[in-house]
Amino acid sequence: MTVDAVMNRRGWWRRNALPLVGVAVLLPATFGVIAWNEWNEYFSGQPTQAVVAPPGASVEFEGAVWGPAEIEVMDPGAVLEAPAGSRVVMVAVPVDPGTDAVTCLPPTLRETTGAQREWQHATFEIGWSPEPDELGSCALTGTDPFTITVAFLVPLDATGPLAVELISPEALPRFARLLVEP
Amino acid sequence: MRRWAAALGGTALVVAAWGIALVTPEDAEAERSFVVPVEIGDRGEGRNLAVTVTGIRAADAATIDGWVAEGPWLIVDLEAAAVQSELRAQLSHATLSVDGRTFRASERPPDSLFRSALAVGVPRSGSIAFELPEEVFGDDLAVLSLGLSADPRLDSLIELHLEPSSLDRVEEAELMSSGWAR
Repeated sequence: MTVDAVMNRRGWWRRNALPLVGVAVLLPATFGVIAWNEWNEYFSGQPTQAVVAPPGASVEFEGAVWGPAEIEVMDPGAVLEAPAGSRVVMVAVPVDPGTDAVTCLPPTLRETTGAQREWQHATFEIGWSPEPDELGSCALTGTDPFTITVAFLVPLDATGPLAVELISPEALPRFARLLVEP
Repeated sequence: MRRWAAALGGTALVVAAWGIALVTPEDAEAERSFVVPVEIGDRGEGRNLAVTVTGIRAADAATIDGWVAEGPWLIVDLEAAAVQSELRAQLSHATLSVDGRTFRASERPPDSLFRSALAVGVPRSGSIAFELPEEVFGDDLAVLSLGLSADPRLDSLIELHLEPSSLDRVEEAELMSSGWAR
């Protein structure tokens, strides 16, 4: 390779410095924007943005006041049909809808640490019959304050702290997470 | 370039292309299930499914709660639980593959764990039953495959290899009624 050739090659990189920098910036940016767009679209339909209430506190969400959530851990083998190695956790969430009625799905219970396992209510599995005023979700509840009361069946090895999660389909990706302390 | 060098290079490229074609995975590999092999009595845990097969029986007729049906039947007794979430946690995939043919668990028994809902961390026990042609019971290898989604791609499958010809065939066998395992 002659000295001229080396100079020429250096010259090409220098001459095209600006476009090269442009490519170096735009190429990763393209991938970044596409990925962000796709994930954002996916996450906007999932409960990903928690509105958190600390233990014993209520939280405003969707124009209503939720909580404070109360939790009662039943003794193993008491009253309800909890199999060995598990216990029943009763959760009550007072809701004040405010001026407009609210909608929500039945609440779920989640470990906030460790494996972050999630339980659906087990009202029927454990043979518990709720009273008429012990609602399972906020379907057809109107604007009067009411209380959601549900039971969960949780293995003994569930590690607290636990959280009650309430999803209102219209509010996604936001949802209410009420921390509870047994 | 000398002629022999070109010929050598060309041959090398053809061989390399052939090798790459050989080691390229098929399209189906990209969506293959994650198989967890188990033996009878072992607990196998996948993404959101933990299963212990506790017994396998063969019978001419299956019964449960007064329901009787002529088979022949292969009955699998098992314990199953969800691992992470109870959302879409049903035992919806239960197949037995024998000699290139795949049989799905029967929907006929009025009580079976097939398609039943599972709880996180609290195992349920029961049976699933396969109604099979007579010749299957002469085969030496069958693969039992259990999963959460009827479409098993890209999810865990708990798999057990069994020998149908070694099973003692009884006249009538009762399915376990579904319930908490403990």
